[in-house]
Amino acid sequence: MEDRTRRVVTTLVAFGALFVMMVHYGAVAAEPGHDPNMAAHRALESPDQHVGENLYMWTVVATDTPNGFVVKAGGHRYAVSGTDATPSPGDAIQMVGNLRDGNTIVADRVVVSPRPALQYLYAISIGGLLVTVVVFVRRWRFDRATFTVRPRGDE
Amino acid sequence: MTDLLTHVLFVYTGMTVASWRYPRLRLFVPISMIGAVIPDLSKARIIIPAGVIETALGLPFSWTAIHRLGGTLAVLALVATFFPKRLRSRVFGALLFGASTAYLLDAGLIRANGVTPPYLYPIAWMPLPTAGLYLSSESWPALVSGSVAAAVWTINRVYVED
Repeated sequence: MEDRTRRVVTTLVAFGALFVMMVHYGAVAAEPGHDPNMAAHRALESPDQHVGENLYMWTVVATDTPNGFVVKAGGHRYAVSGTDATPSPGDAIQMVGNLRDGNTIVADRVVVSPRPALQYLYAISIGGLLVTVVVFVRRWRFDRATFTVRPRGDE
Repeated sequence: MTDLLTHVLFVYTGMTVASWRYPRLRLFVPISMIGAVIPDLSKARIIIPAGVIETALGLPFSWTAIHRLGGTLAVLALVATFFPKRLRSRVFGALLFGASTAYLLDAGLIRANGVTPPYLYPIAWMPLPTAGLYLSSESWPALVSGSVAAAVWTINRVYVED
């Protein structure tokens, strides 16, 4: 098989496989036993049907209260209690807890990522991308004639 | 996710040190760094939310599949097709090494439930244990990886490449 044809076929197969997985994951990941974070967010869309269930989820703190804090998930707001964690509004949290009723979660464990730390994460990650680009373009170049990436000096 | 700077510096360090023994690896150091970035392409959801694509396509959709075994391998294969045939298998190997280190570092994250997301999808939904060493938002992993990478870069520049 000519290399150009091989490249086209590989691209189509790989992209097709990726697309199928992205659709499939979106369709089934929220089912019980699959992706716990997505399952928790799906459950919290209909809290009355999932009272008593244990959840693991990532979410963002909406407000803090004297007894805990409030998060938004599944289109609803939930008061979180049972934890010593004191996150601020805008902080990201990971939480393992139990859905006590239609609007209350009793937390077993809360891990807080403060908002400034998240901003640091995104900023330094952009730095990582820039470092990668700089290191890459020092040794490789894009050859338009063959539509391939080649080592510099490789004519 | 561990921050991307830690990801790429970790693999830069490993590949550069390996190139001292196997000089042919030197060309593929940046390729492995790209491999380390690929799983976190799932963060594209920050720019284009999955809901936007679901509405446009009329299908369920999740960027998260990129940060899973099957999605990552598909993206690696896509990237490798852009390289000449004579280099393609080595490029794929370098990309795979980079992506593997990314998953390794992500397994060191602190998770409230003590396990990773289902990284083995589509083979299995089974989570894997995490080491619980750091949060992705902590700065010390980047400081450590940056310090080590700087030392390796200096040694490479002064003693190896010259």
